[in-house]
Amino acid sequence: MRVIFKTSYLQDIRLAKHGGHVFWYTLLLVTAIAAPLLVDTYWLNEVSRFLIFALAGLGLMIVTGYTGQVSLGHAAFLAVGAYAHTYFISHEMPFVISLLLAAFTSGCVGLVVAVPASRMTGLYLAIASLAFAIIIEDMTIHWESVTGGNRGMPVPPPSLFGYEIYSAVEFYYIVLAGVFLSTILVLNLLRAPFGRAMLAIRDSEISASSLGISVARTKITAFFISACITGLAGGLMAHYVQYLSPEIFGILLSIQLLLMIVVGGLGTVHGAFFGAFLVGLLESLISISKDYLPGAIGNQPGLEPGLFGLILVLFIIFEPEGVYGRWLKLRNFFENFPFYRRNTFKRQKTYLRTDRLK
Amino acid sequence: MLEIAQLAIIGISQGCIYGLIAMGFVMIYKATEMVNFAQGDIMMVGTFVALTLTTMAGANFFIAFLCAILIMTVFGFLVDRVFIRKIIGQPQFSIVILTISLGFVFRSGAGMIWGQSPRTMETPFTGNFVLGSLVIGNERIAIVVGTILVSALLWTFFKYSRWGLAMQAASQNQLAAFYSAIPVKSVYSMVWGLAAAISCIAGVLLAPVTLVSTLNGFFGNQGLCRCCDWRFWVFARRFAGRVDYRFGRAFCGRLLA
Amino acid sequence: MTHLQVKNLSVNFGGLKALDDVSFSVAKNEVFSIVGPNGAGKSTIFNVISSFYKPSQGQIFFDAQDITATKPDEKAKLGITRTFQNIELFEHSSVLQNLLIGRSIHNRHPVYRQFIFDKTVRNSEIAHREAAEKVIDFLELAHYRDHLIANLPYGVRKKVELARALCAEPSLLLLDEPASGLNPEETEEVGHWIEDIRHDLGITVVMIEHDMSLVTEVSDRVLALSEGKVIAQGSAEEVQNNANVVSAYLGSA
Ligand SMILES: Nc1ncnc2c1ncn2[C@@H]1O[C@H](COP(=O)(O)OP(=O)(O)OP(=O)(O)O)[C@@H](O)[C@H]1O
Ligand SMILES: [Mg+2]
Repeated sequence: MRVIFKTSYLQDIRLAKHGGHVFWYTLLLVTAIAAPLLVDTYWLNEVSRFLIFALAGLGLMIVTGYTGQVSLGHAAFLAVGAYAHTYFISHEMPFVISLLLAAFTSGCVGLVVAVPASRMTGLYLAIASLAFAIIIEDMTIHWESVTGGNRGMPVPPPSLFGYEIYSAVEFYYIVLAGVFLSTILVLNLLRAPFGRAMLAIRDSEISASSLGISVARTKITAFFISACITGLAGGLMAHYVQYLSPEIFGILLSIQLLLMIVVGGLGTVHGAFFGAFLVGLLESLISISKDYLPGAIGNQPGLEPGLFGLILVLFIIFEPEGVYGRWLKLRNFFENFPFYRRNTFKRQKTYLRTDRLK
Repeated sequence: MLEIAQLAIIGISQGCIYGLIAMGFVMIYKATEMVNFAQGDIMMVGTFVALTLTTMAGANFFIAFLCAILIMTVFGFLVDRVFIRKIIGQPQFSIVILTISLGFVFRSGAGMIWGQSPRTMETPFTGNFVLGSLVIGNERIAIVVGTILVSALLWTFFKYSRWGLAMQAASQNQLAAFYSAIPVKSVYSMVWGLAAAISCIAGVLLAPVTLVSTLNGFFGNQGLCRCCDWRFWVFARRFAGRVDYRFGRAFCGRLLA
Repeated sequence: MTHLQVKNLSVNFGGLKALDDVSFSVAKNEVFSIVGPNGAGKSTIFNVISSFYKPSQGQIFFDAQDITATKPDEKAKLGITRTFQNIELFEHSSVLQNLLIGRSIHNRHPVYRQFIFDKTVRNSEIAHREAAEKVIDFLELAHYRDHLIANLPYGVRKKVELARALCAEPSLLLLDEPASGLNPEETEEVGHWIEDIRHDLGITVVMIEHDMSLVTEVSDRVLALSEGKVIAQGSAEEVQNNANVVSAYLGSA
């Protein structure tokens, strides 16, 4: 077991808590930078896709994993980001500015859902976001002058400083840079007061507000940030898919994002990445297994959502802390062996809200 | 005048359907403070069960209907026993995620069993009811009468039966109900069974109006949206109206109308 | 000098009168206790003071300012913090994190600065930790600093909740049954802390408590409540010997 003697407050505040962290995360970053040397174009594209999904998951994680509000329609923000970005660059806006503006647009659109929902209980956000995703889907179909309607629209290649980018390697570096920067910013936020305020709201709204945290404002801000990040992922995703059409951003994608963060581990940044990886793996497995399954099951259009749903159900019931949580438990078990306390991670129950103030 | 009466009856029957669907949601919400996002899909499953039973050779529609209701009661009961009970006392978002995922599982399961293409259900509620020059589809009348019957039955159940009273107690104060030796957990399972039964009825009454397909769950979720909070929906409608009239229509068409 | 004043407060839940025309005032740096049988409406007073319930009638003044309708989070900014009868901690965070959340009102950095985590944010984080560390020393929580709340025994949780409220550096502290569920030694400890909170930190304390020995030991004045009505007010001894109070307790037993 690693025992860390703390000698300064900074030790708690730093992102890397000890030498092990520094070593492993540096190694990870170096591997990521060297990835184009290690894998071929096909796999590099897969890695880009994984990173984009992880970024979208990170956005959803802020709302659902940290603030404890479920958004059932987060794919809508991917859509807003993707369409806005494509629209902007098609109108000669510089790539980076367009990407940021698309993220911001997505955030502002998020406010439309978050502001009215914040005054009610968390459930309304779930319902509102579901309805909202449908509105956005309809908009992508009907607002033809901007979205190209059902025909869809092509995405011009990214261009940096007048130099057009077609190769997978260069695109990979753009994605990597975007994901890296966003992750660092999110990590910063999480160790700052606002990050703690989000956790506070998730665990107990009444004590958060009795300590001076404005519940509504925190929820709205968190949703805004979340929509921005997911919108950024959407902008990058536009280049990955290269051709936008409404059916990409359906309810299935929303559920997939939810699946990612639940499987990965709610309330952790690691969870977003683990989840993106595992769900990507799952997708490939499904597409491979389709060849072996009997037609009645394998060719079902409902197979993927059904499987996603089933896995979500199993995780929520048996491992609500996700794969990352399970990993922490295992590590704790081995580090403390044989003194592991069965109850170390015992879940606490919260009873009905109405009974809690009495 | 005639037209208005005609429209009024259609409107009333539409309202009744939403009312029936909403009843299931509200029962579960009131009793357990959980929103069941799978309610619409449970309704869809119920409709398919009824469809299968009624199409079986020589089956009488009403007997098949009754059997379907019973099966769905057990189904709802089991959903609570197997899934929902495991996470009683967990935070709200677990419940939201659990129920919405269950909805997906049901939808995909139904697709595998009954296929994706919409089907029609043979019901005795065909033909028209003619009164002078007023013509009303019998299916509309069935909806209204069905809703009234179900409401009356439920009312008696809550008012007089032991289980009904226990459900009321549990919904008013969970802890107090625990203390007064009401088997809260079993009561919850009963509530789920009852809600599933009601949504089965709603689904069958709805079947002649829409076709029976795995997408019927969406229609059920409209019920959810409607019963939740009209304030929110007024907002949504206004919002939708503002974005663009066309989107407003498309949106209302899919969610509200 | 009056610090908190409650004037003609009434609260209804449907037909139930949880509070009926309750008035009292608390002086600066006083320890004021509220006693009464179960369901008397004690916690309801706190919930109204922190704006979780709306009164049907009456007003609350804090330093002569009317705070009846101020939002819950504004109350904390004014200097009122509280603990809850059924401990409301942030279960999935460590003790230190909980205490840092207690310092929310002392954070003045806009969110975008927190994203960048620049020097000023870093320094204020260090300052928050120093402040939290003081409270940890004060309540002897050092051993539990990095424990998750979910793993703590009941008594320690009560202490953490108190510590969290102190981290906000309030001028008025509302304690809802700080000693319930504690053993006699722990209860005695709570008594000492309340004395220290009052004398060393200069905080005014309003406390709901059933343990009469603790109430007698620490309070300057006591208010007895029964079925939403004030039935006695005065020193601990006066209230304990009051005929109304005796019959309220015996009657409810
Ligand atoms: N949110 C609420 N809705 C309905 N009734 C409530 C609510 N909160 C409290 N009550 C009722 O108001 C009365 C007073 O409750 P309160 O919690 O203030 O009692 P208390 O004096 O704190 O009792 P205890 O010693 O058990 O904590 C009780 O009858 C209670 O049932
Ligand atoms: Mg109380």
